[in-house]
Amino acid sequence: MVQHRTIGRLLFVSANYLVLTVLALLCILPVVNVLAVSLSEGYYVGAGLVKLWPVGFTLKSYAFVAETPEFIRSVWISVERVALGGALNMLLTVIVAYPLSKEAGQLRLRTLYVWLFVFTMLFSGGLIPTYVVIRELHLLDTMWALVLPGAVPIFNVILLLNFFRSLPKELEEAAHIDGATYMQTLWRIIVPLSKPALATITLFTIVAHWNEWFNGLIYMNMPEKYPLASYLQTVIVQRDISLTTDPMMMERLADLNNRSVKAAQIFLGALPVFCVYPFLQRFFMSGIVMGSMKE
Amino acid sequence: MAHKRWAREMPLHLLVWTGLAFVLVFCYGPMVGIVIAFQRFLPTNGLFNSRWIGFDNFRQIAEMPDTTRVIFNTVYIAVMKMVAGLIAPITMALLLNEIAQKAFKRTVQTIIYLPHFLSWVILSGVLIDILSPNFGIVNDLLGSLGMPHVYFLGDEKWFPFVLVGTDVWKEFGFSTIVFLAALTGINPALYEAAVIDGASRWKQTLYITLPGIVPIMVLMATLSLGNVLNAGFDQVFNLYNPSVYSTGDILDTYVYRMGLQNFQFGVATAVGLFKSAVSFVLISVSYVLAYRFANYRIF
Amino acid sequence: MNRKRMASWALVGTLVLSAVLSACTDNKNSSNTSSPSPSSSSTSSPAPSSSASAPAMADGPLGKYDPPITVTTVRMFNSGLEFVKGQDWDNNVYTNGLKDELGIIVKNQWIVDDQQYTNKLNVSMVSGDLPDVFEVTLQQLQLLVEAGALADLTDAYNKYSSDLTKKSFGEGDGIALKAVTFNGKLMAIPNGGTTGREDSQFIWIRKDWLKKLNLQPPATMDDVVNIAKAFATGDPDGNNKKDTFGLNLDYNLFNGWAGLDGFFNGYHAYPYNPGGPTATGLNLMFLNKGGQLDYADIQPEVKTALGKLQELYKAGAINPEFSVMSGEKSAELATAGKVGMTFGQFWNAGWPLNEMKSKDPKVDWGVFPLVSADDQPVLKTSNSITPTRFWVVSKNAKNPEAAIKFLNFYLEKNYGETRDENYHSVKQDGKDIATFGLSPVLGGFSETNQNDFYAVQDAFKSNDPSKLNPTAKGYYDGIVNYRKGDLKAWPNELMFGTEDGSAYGILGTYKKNNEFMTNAYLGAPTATMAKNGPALKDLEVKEFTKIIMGEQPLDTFDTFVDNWKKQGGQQILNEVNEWLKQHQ
Repeated sequence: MVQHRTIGRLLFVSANYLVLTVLALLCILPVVNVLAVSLSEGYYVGAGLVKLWPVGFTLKSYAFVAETPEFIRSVWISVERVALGGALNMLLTVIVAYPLSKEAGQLRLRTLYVWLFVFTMLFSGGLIPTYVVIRELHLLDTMWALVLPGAVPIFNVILLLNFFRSLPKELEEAAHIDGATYMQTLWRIIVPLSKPALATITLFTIVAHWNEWFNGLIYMNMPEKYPLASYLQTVIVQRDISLTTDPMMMERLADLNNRSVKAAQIFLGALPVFCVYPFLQRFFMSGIVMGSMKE
Repeated sequence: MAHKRWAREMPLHLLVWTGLAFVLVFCYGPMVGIVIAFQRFLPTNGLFNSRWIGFDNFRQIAEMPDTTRVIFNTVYIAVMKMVAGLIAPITMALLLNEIAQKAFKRTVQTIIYLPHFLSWVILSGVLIDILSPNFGIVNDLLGSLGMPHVYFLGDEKWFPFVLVGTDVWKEFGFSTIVFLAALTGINPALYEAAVIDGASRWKQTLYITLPGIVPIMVLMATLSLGNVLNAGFDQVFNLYNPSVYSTGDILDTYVYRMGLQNFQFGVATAVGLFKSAVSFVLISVSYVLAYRFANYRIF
Repeated sequence: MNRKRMASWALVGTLVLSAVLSACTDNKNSSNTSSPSPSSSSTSSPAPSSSASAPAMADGPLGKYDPPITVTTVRMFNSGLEFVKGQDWDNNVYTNGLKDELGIIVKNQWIVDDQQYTNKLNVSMVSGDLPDVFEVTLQQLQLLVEAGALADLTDAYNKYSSDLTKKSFGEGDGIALKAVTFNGKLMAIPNGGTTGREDSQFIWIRKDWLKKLNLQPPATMDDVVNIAKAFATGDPDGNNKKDTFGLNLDYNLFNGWAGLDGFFNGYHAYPYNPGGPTATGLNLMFLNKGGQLDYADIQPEVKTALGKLQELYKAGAINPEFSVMSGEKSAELATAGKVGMTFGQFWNAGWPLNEMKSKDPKVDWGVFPLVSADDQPVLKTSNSITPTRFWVVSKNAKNPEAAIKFLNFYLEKNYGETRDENYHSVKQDGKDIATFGLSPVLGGFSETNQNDFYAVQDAFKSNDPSKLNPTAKGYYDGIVNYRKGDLKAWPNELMFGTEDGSAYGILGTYKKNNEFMTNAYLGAPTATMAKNGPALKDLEVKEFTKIIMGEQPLDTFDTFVDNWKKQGGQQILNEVNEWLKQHQ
């Protein structure tokens, strides 16, 4: 791309680099702090002495996590959940977003359909009746309880249908004239052209499944079946020391508020998702796919 | 004719119905549970055998001493978060768009997305330290610039802004992704034409880039209206303290602290229903307005 | 599941703490007891049949069912839980013991993280999946009784309870029994966590700071105030910076760590209403004033003490940021060496002070009795004789007596003739793994730790630890090791070491003089408490905090009292006095 090399432009570019660098620093500092805490001895963490550099450097926390079977087991459950739930989410998002991206004139009841979906984004029956439904379907204590209830992520559907709508109409029309069915058009033309949008939604889906913890705690009857996020929740939740009229609580405290171990688990727990993003990033570099299109 | 149209569109309907089936079972099915809002609900009685009390649960919320103030706080904080939460990622996406060096761009993108993965439980510990008036680094900086110390987490005036600031900081990197994806959808031919016409980068941004992502901006803005009564329970709960209840308390934390979450299912459900209804009205209104005045369907 | 524990810092503290808090060890060896040892006389011999008409083959407290019966229950855990190798929730010393000895197969319907226990229990109730035996809070107990969902345990108790079980129900002058009796019917088993007077407070002071500033331990509240001021201004840590505080505090105001309960007690005031965001505002303290119940937190003595706190704050002796600090943050202040005095309960030695000694031998926290502002003895707020958790039995349970039998079995294995240490804890790879928590129902006796303390003292006097029970022996060894130079064993010394320099030594004196102030209201939270309690708590913590910080003059306390009464407090007073009339 040709650029106008003016002094103003130069100033802007330098300022831009500067601003982005500062912002990036602001964002990475807490992560560095968590890392430093995970590499410090618990005592110094408890005394508030660990900032950005480990105090009393030790790998004990990581050694401990490595020896914690629950952690590793729950990672696998989460991987399974992301694979199964993510695939289901992506499939349903695409096949629902596609018809809904049509104009009302191209699909009867389209507006009704959209609102039926949007409505569920706003209203929910709440925990108790949802639990009853899951139980009646005999999904309790199975992976399906974590995957099926949110199988159609409405937010993503709406996002994707908007992306679909922004694609040039001519391509699809041309395909239809060539005799392609809806399904052929969807998979051969629409989907390949929507890589950035699909990458975004894939990321959202993976992150959502990876981070969701509440359903795991409620729908699983045995802790051995907790996915990572649920397991982490049992570890990192702050056990408040007020209300100590029940001194049994105190025993837990000394144990559970070891922030080094918490930090190590948080760090390791987030690592896989950190890594997904750079991988998906290449789809966000503009002008890769779209070059061929002319309006 | 009509029959033919159904037949032609049938593949599309089938696709929608597949998704609708899930939603019917797992979302509309449980919605019968909304009846709890009109009961003095006892879990042992099942869903329909508790005593019906009409709108008493709603009345109880309305009559709690601080409800008005708390709703005001919630809307105030949520609206600021919505606005800042839109402007920040859009600006960020535009700034990143101006970076030519790919490695730098990618690195920054990845880094700013990190805080999204730290929970408020963890962040609150860090924030309380760095925002401390006497020992925190932020106030040290303010002090060295000759500005007075600010009691960020203990001052009623400052607390809502702390909430907004830290929330935007935590989430803007993640939200930027949507806009980055939208930017890739802009036809490069437009830029080429603009360059030939001699438009500056600034003009290009103003007349090509921004209009190109307007649909997504409108969409994100509309969807965020759904959160007008969700000002972020986790965040507030982990950062607030009795000194800032008057400005920091939001509907969810208030209901939690008043003990309504645990045993008064009716009241808790009523609060949820109220929030849903408000969101629904707001989203519907903006949908209708966009359609009426811009002939544009948001979704 | 493994214990989330790093070897060094948690180990000493936790082991000591868990042993102390478990309150479930024998003490028949102690001779110098101030109160009768629960199991010295009572024994529950394995089941002499008590009633001939009982069904099946399960007569008596520990009779065996044949064929075996199945009883369902649900469990909560926290991530600190650790199992003996090869065991789990469905296969452990208790499930096996109950199956082999009592013919009861325990089936865990579900197991959940303790944070979600209430949620999971509620959804199970709605679904009609209630287990036979489960644990509830006082409010849940009330709801369930109201809904008629619970089995009446009166007959089962009369027919099957062992002597030990009867004794545990009788703890705390029958307060426990009173709490589980509804209309003359026994509806629940009180959780064995009744811990006697263990919630009384002490003053924890850095003795090394006292020495440095040439101060004596406090004898009066004036001394306390002066020490606090000196700690703030006299540079006790010697770094030439004014960065220390005299009195620790956080936004809870009342708490077992860094709370003000003991400070107020010194002025004969007994307020108690923790202020943090998670506090319920339901556990209000009432005093019996000439036959009338009155709210402890609105008495004039409270105002006097608040005045002193205001004075301390003004002098810089209290961290100006206390009002935004949680308990964890105030603990951080202490472990970072920034504060030299705190009011708190016995376990403060086990957390958060446990490791300070071994990290810096110069640090020397000491524990001292509460002191009075005048010549009147100081009474300590103590309410832990009232149970807060309960086990109940579903009305659909086929064998409601099984819950009583669980308790019989638990107490027998931990306190009875056939006591077996495996039912308390097991040593594995050099650390103690608690097993007692695996019992479907737990019980205990409030004087256990106190008796262990006296036993340890006797052992030191006679130089003969051979008669100590395993738990007391653990304390004894810890103290010996500490005195030999193992600084990690320090908490043992501060909890059980000496008559006047350890928490249990001082607590023993408290008990000898019977210097306690106990809540005069023993009922469940009243309707108005449930409705207005949380808001009144907010009001109180806000007013108290503002007065302490000097943002409001002391006299606004009187306005607070009026407001408290107006905003539902008077109604609460009427309700509790109504209760008093019915229970006199």
